[in-house]
Amino acid sequence: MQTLDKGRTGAAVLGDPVVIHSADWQIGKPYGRVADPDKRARLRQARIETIGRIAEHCSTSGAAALVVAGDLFDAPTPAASDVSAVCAALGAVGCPVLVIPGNHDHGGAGSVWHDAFFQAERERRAPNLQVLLERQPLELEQLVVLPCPLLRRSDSADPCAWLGQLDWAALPQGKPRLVLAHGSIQGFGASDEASDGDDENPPNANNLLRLDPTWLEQVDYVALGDWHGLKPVGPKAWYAGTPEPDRFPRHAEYRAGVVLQVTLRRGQLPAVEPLATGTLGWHPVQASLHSNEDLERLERELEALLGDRVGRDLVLLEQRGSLSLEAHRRYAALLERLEAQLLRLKRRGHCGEAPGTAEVNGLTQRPGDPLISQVATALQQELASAAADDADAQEPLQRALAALHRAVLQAEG
Amino acid sequence: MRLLHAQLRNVRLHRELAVTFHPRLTLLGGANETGKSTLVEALHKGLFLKASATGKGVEELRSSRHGGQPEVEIGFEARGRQWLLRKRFSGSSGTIQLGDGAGVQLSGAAAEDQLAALLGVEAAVEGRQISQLPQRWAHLWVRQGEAGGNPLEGKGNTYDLDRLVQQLQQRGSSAALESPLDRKVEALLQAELDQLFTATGKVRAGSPLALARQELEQAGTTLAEARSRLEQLNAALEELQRIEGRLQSIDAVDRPALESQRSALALAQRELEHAEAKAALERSRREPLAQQLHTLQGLLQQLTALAADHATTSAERDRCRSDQAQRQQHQQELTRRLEQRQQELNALQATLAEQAQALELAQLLLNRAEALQRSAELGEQRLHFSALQEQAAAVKNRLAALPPISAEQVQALRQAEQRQALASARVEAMAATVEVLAADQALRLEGHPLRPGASVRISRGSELQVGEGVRLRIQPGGGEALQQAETERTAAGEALAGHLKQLGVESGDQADQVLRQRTGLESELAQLRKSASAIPWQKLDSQIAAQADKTRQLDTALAQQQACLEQLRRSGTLPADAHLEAWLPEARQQQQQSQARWQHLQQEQQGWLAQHQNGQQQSQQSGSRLGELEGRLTALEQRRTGLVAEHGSAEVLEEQVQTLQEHLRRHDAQLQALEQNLAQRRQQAAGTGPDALDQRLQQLRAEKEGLLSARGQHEQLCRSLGASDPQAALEQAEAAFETAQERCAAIDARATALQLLLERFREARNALADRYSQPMAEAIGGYLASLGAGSEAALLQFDTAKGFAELQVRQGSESFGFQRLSGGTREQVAAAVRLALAEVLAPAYDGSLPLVFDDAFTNSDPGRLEGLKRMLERASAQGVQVLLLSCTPGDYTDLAERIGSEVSLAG
Repeated sequence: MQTLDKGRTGAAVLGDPVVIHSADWQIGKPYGRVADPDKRARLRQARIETIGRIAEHCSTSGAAALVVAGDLFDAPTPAASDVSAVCAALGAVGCPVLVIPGNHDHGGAGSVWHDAFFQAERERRAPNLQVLLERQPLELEQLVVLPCPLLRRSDSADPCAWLGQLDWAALPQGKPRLVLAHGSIQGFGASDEASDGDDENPPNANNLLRLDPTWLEQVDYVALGDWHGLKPVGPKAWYAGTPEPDRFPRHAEYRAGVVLQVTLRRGQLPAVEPLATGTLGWHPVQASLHSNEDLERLERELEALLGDRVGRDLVLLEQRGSLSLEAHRRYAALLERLEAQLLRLKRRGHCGEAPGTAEVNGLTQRPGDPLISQVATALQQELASAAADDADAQEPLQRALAALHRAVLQAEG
Repeated sequence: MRLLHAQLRNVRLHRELAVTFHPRLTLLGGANETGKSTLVEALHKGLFLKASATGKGVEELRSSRHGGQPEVEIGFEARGRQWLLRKRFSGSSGTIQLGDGAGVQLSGAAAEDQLAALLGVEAAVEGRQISQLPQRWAHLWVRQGEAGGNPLEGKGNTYDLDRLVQQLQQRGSSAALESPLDRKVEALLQAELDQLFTATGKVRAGSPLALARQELEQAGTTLAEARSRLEQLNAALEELQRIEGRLQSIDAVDRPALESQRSALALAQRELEHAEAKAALERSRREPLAQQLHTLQGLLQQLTALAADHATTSAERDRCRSDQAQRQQHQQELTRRLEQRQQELNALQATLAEQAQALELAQLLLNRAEALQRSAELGEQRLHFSALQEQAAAVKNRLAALPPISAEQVQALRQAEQRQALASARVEAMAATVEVLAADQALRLEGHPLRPGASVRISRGSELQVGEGVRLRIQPGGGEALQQAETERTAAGEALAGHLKQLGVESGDQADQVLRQRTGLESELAQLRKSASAIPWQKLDSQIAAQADKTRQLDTALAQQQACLEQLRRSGTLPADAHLEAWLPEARQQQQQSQARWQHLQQEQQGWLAQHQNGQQQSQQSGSRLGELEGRLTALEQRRTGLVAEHGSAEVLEEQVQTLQEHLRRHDAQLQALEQNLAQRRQQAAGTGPDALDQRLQQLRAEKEGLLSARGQHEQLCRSLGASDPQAALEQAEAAFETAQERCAAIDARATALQLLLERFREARNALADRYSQPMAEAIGGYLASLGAGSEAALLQFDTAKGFAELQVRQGSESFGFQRLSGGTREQVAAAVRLALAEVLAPAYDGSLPLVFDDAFTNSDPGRLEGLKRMLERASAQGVQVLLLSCTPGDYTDLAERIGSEVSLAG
């Protein structure tokens, strides 16, 4: 059994030990889909700043340890600046910080954990940080930690399997036992899995954990990482989720941006309490646009959601429908404003542009311009006869009408 | 626009030509080469070719007869004013003046521009664009030879389609077919589409679409690179992991396993050595026993061998003795036979000697007889040779007595005789003969008296005296020839005499005889010489002397053996001399037989001698061997006795050997068990010998070094690939790719919309095309009806892009395409179309437009003339100003008189 250097232990408290459980910090996450490099930098910086808030929670809760269940870094080879920033931030945490590598920052050779620079920075700035690369018990003053690190990006073997062979009698009987693991839980339904990943963050389907009852009954808490939303997977197994949200929630129950304060007692169920850490707003917004009124409603909704906050929010706009040419111009202006205000405006779907009734009449009812009138009439008739849900048939006709409308406006000066 | 008058100066054949045009119809008549077409061309160039043009267009106007630059002056009405145009074509210095006589007076570029505007064309044609010149007003200007073409063929610009459409719109429905806004919008859409695509439908380089596609392609490449980089990084990390795992495996598993194997091997090796030592000890114990057994067995063998040797030697000694007795008996027999044979040989030797002597003497006798005979033959030869020599000497003497006459000389003599005989005969033939038959007076010829009965031949003039008083001169015939013959006879006679004298004969016959005698003697002499040459007379004497010597030698030899000879003869061994020759071969044969027999006996005797000697030798050897055997037997016996005394008898020794062998068998069984154990241990050690283990450890060390090196490389690779955050790069590349895709799709969609719109514009315009084609067809149909040739109406198609096409003429219930019409009908239908075009266009030109026909109806038959005139009259009534140029102006004079004027161009 490995033991923690006594000189590096943090403040011990009387009574049941408290542990702050976090995971999936993914420091250095590139946010490559955000076009603006300044915004990308602000998003990355926000993740680093979260560590400070976690440190405060550690301090106020008198935590015996901060455990990070994998994916502290976004990649196995993070930038040196991120390494330094993380070490500096962790050095300020007033308790031991125990980290296992996850699939993003696996513990294989060549990864950051073996890197000389990281090791030097850890020595220099965060002596309380211990990276657990071996699957063997670690006894702390108040608890025993059973780490299940991922030693390669993709491993079909269950990193918790070693617990099945553990001689439990050899462990200290009075100290609560905490399993630290990273991966998906076997047996979860597809809908649950789908709820965590999205088109930009594919779920980790390769590293599966098996919470085997034979060892589960021997432990007091399983601190899990990998899922970015807060999620209990049993009375004593929790995903803490990422402390700074990094994706748009896909359902109302999705919650991220917290760490878990876990109070442990040997042989008892843990007391788990989420503590807020996130600062960025990730908002999915539905925009069904068919009229000026729809557009105005959307504007009001966004105003309520974002207020005057600039550079703190990200919006996923699920847009659909079609607006008149004039309304579409207003919609384009709104989007332009949002692009400036938000850290990111992600648009999904399509809002069509088709002349409204008055605009169409302006084209068709032109006795003095027979060609324009006839062409517009023909297009309008085709559009009317096209199936309402046949976007492939409708869109070119709508675009043609819109182009004609613009050209007429331009020609008329 | 109406032409009023024209004036040409220095234009080809025209020094100065002035023409005034009638507002409706001007008939310009003139024979060929009177300058009609020149006028037409000069008017056309005056209106449309830039005054400062250079090149072919201007050169063609120049006059070869008249000096000065071509000048064209045209007066015309346009836009309600009368204009006077003057162009002087002098290359780049050409000039133009255009004035309306009411204040406007232009020149240079301004004048050209104003003129083009009045004519409704873009601009005057430059010299280098001369190929475009014929297209100007091509529908109104019908040159010679072009009257049968379809005026509506080709692009619309050849017949001013745009203006035509405008006029047709005004002429047709009151509603406009397209508005300026329509055209502007369409132009805007087209312009926007043209920014994206070229005329051939390809994406225009540098267009937003091209840029978007380029960006998309670039983004795709970047994305692939980013993916590849990330994959490389992950692969490198995986490889590092594998290397690390392997390194750990080497240190934690493979090397300890090998070292453990090595320890086990060392243990096994020690056990093996122990077993080997045990086996060696057993072997060392067994060795003295084996040695003792070996010694005893050796002694036993010695005793057995001694006994066997003794028996063998005894048998050999007995056999040796028996052989010796037999051999002595055989030697005695041989000695007796040898003596007997020696006597036989001696007797035969004596006989052989006597035979040899007899043969020698016989040979001597025969040789002497031969030598005597040869001497006699040589003596006879010498006598015969002497006789031949004497005969030859006699013949030579006889030859010397005969004159030396050759056959050639005899022939020459015979020819001289012949010539002399011929000459005499000729003289005789010319000579006269005086024959005295009877005389009573003395007759004298050349003083020689003639007697009665005498006959004298005279060969030259001779005097015959009869009596005294009569003297006659007789002259034989021939004159000079007789004289000459006489001379030749004298010469021939002299020549003959010469030959006879030279040869020493009196006649040719005698010479002949002498020649035959000489020939016979020479032949005889040659025969004698030949006989003598057969005798070797030069060696004859020496041979005779040699024979004499030989005879003497033989005699001497015989004399020496005389006694022997006589004894042999007496004994009858040697026959008499006469039989010697026959006896000799027989005697020789006998001698040979005697010699053969002697040799045979001799050889046999030699064989016996050798046998005898051999037997003698064997006898000696056998004696010696017998001695040896006896000695050996004694020695063997002594040795056996010694061995038995020392080691005991063979039976005792046998017992000892068996006891020892029993001991040894027990030792061997133990040793075999030990050896088997040892072999097993060795076999176990063989597979994983210390060398193999060392080698594998070495390999592990090498593998580890390689892995450490590879780890360093991959760590470096990871650092290098990870430095630029490949995940970030991939996400950015994906985002950029998606953005590029969206941009590209948006432009594509926009382009599709534009294409769709423009297509709809074309369709809409084509849908209205009947409004254009109908009035045009009606206009043409009016002229066709005037023509009255069965053609009733025209059919036309209109396309906004292509203009009018598919002109058809309806005749009765059938329609015919323009190209299917006959040549004459094509001219007339084309004229109808042109007149209709001019009529429709005329309102755009102040209600009048000139139309020029230059000999345009050459293929039309006279029956159509009236119809043509009706068409022209109809057109002139609709504002078309017809200029009709014809080389048969009489056909149209009535029309010109009725509605226009006629101008005659003189040659």
